[in-house]
Amino acid sequence: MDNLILWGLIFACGLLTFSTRFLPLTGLLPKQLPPLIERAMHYVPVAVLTPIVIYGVFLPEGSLMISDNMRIFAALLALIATLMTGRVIITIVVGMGSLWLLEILNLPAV
Amino acid sequence: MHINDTQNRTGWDEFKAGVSEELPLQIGIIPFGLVFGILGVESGLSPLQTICLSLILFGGASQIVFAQLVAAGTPFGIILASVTTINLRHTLYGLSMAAYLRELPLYWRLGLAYLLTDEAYAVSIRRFSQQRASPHMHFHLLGTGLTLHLFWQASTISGVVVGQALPDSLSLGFVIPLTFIAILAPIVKRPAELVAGCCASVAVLISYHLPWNLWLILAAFAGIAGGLVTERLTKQKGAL
Repeated sequence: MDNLILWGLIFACGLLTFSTRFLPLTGLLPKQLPPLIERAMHYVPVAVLTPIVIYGVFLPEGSLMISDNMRIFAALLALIATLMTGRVIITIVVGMGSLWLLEILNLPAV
Repeated sequence: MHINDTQNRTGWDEFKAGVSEELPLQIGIIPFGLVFGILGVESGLSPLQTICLSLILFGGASQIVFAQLVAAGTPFGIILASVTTINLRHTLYGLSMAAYLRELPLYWRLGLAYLLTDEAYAVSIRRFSQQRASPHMHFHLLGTGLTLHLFWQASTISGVVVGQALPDSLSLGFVIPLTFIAILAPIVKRPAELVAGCCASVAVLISYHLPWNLWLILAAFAGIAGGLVTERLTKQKGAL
């Protein structure tokens, strides 16, 4: 791939990505958004972050993995750890640790 | 300082609060950045291009997709569309923060827009919406955003420099969903939020194969719709 064009693509993607962030802050928006939109905004964190979790757990390679997917168990253990401790570090340690352990244990079954 | 006393915070207090609330998430950001650094070089970007992509785009998921599509020789128009579609969620973040940020001078809004991404948004929106407002609240987002930015750049560079030594079998990319599980758990409190999450999840499983990574923005709208409908239904039940 031509190097100069690749640089151009990096800058173009950067500019468009910045626009997605800056657009709502331009001041062009009305001061009082319609009440429905105001209430809709409350669900943005859940509605955006949950799909990222689901994709990372069920579609790690871009295709659906239901059987023989250790990430599902590791994610459930991580969820339990989060609910019990409320700490990010413990969640990640439990999740990564259990994934590694499950993958090691599962290897001979291949 | 009393925990509810947030309306008297100075800019420096807000900034420090943002930094300290963002720091625990960095245990997930470091492996994520390493993964991107490794992938960028493997996919045919130069080390400088990989590092600049982190600096210019500053959006982890979209950078991974960028690298994968470049490696696959995808036409530029499709790469541009994919990256933009993935990052459209930032528009929703910006909208939900506009109420707190729109009176700021232009240079503040430009700077904060550049820093507005998942992990900084998730931490700062909780401070904005759940604690008492202060005139210097925007320093909180500056703190979360700059912390994230610093760790993201450093871990990208580390991935580029030393990453080839890390084996793929470590599944380091799995830290991304794990980080978001930890962020999500305290946000989901009411049935409406749970339904929003479930609707968004189902939408992912239905739409993941669509072009340009449309699944993310479709799932976001499905989740928002599910939350609003449940809110309305449960309110009506309460009134009966």
